[in-house]
Amino acid sequence: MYNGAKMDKDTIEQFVTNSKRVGNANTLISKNEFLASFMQDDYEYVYIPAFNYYKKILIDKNGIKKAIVESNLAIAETGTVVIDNNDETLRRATSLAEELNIVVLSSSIVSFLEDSNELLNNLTKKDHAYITFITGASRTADIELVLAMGVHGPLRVNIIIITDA
Amino acid sequence: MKVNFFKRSDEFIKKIEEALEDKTLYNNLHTFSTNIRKTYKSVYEGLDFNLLRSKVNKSKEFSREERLELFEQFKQNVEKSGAKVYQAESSIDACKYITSICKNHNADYIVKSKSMTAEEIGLNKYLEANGLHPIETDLGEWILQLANERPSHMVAPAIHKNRKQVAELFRQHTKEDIDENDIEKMVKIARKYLREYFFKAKVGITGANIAVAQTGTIAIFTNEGNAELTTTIPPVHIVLLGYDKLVRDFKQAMNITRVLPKNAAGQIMATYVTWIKGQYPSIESKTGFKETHYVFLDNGRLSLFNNPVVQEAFKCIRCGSCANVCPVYGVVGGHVFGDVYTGPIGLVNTVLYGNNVRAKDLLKLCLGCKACSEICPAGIDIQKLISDLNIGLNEKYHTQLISDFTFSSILSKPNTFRSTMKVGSYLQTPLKLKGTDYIKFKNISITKNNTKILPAIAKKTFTELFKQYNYNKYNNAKKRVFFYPGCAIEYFYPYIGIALVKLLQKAEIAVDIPKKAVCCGLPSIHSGNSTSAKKAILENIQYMGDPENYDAFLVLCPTCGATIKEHFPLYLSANIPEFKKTDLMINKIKSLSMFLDENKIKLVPKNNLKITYHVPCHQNRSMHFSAEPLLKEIFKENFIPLVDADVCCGFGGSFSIDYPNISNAILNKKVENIIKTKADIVLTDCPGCIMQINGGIVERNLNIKVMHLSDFFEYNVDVE
Repeated sequence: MYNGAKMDKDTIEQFVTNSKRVGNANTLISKNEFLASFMQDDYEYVYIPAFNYYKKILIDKNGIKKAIVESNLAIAETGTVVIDNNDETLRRATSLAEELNIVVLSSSIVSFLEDSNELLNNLTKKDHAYITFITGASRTADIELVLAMGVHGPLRVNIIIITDA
Repeated sequence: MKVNFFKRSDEFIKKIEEALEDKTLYNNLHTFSTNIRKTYKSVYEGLDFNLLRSKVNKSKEFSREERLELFEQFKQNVEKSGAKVYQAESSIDACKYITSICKNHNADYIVKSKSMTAEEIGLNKYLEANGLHPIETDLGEWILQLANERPSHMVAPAIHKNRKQVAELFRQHTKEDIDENDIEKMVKIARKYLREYFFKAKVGITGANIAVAQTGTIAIFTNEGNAELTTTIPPVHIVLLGYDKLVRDFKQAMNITRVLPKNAAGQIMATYVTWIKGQYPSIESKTGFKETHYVFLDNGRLSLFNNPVVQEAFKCIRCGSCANVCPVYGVVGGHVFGDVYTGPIGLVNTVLYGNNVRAKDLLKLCLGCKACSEICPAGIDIQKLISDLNIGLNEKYHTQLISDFTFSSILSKPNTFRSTMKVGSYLQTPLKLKGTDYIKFKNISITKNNTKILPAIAKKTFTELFKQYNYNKYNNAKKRVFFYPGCAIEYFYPYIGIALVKLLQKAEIAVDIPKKAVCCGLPSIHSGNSTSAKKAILENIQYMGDPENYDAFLVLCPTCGATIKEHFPLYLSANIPEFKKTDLMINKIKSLSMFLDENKIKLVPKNNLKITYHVPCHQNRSMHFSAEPLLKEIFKENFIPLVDADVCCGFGGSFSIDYPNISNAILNKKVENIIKTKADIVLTDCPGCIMQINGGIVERNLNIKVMHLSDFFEYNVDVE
């Protein structure tokens, strides 16, 4: 209980609520259903280590239409996914894809921001690290306070929660 | 350098007037501040804001020595990967170092993500003077770069611009055909246009919101994702940060992470938090790894980290929420209310890092409402910092505004003050508006909107009336309270004080008052004169009753109450008997509503008048008690809640006659909200607020009355 509030709901449900709040589309799907429906060709960049799917290209300034990547953790308190972005090809994919799809293993969903400290501490034991917290798609309200999406990042973020992994 | 002014610079006054006339600025700020206040409530729902912000406050609590230790730890951690750490003493030192790195890499183009520290050192101008091209990648900052303007807000830098102005800037720069109403399209154009620069640039420069010493990691918060691209494509990364960004570990970092986006933009979390350590992989780099430089900026910080008056300022997490709730900022904007740094903490930072000559004018813009201290997620009492620094500036620059001389020289001398007011009560007759008890005051140093309608000085003071009606002879009492009227009741609204006495006597409570009316000292403090404040306070405490003899100390002016609670102990800390008396007194200080509530004195309405309530700033933020729940209970469906009830009315004591134009602009919003309630009476428990709001009502000829709780209760409720 880090923030003075109790995480009394189901953690996945809490994550989905907060993920929806920032405009993400959220799908809950079993591992088998996901594997059955997954088409690698739909995406220019693929990085899903849990299922051994890789298609790592170097994206240039033209960007790509769709990427699908796996997150290390997801934080229910804020609807955030945590990605070890040390690999530059992955970093470019999370920024330069118009649509970013993120596979979240339900076992990786934690309750609070502090629950990501262990991962952060581990990754920063090395002499260099790059980790990104992503909460929704890129946005701005800099012009007259009108919300607009897709400034220097994806216009859309879709979360795919694998319920039994 | 001693500079004697009897007025502010003409240039400064002109800037204020121009800002007040700017419709775009007014509309954008009004929309923003109204919405964000609502959002703050919803984004912290279910959370204990005071607990969260005290955690942040503690997370950044370090002495200078501890900060330097954190720095050493951070440095060692990042140097392991070959990153360079440079300690810049001054702005120019930092600019020189950064420029030399860029030149070494033949970096014609440099991309930057938003950094207030870079603004502080004037980095862009320095790079451009050296033939380099820094490109701002945050959309708001890029818009301002095209317009060659400074940010007017720390988080929403281009809030003063409208879509038409932005479209015109884009048209000129990109030569594309731009529809000013298609904001989405404009953003797409910016996306495409700036994308080119991410790939052209040889160097990326960022700031850092947090620096975690234990692991050598920085955190950068953005919504656009520009920090990701700025730190990914170019082969070189320069991080510019002040030593004040350092914390110990990720636990402390998460305390900040939890609150920063909520206060900055009303978001549960920022879209991107980028955590970076050392020299991470970089495809464009010849070595395969980024060349990273950390430039730690001193610029005066190190000498101030142990300064007891200002050290709290270094806990600032740069969220900008103080500006969002500041009523003065809300009508004049950041180009007036600040310098490089804007908003309330911007006033403080201008004294710490910036131009002190400019600062002395800026600090006078503070109303003293404490909305900033209330919202700060790092728990900084920002208003106190402004007040303390104002005293320091006044001692040096002797900035005597019209009111300063009056208040600070006379208020501390009760006999002089009383006779001055007596003379004044006769002399004011020609100034009175016909058939009224009001005078119209004009500040001629301001050209537009320079009048205030204020109450006339009463013929008899409260003390005189109290004696005249023999209230001091009431002995049939169950309880005894001490009532401190304060100057407003004593000289302007004595009948409000008399109404209190009558009400209490109905409840069989006797009232004692000071033998001599002495000011509480706040006008002197507010005008920056601590010497006359001390005089007034020392004199005042002598005439306060012995706390042992009273059940409560009542005030009808929460500003006086706040001054006694917050300032008396500080001013009297070396005057031990007086300090002890104050300490005992403070526990018993109550406003009328607090006293009624605690003593469970039940009031029953005598009629069906519709009531609304304005919450005085000091009642809410210093006395910590709003009468709203009590009034709701008494008046039930005849009580109508006021929108933005706890937003300042714009009085601020002397502020209202020093800056009548700003005071009236703030008052305007309050009166509009009052009209919307359709109430018969607007109640409040501060005579200053009554002066202010009544002035607005009289000017508009409205059929609403403003009354203090005490004089409203006299005729409109029964004591059960």
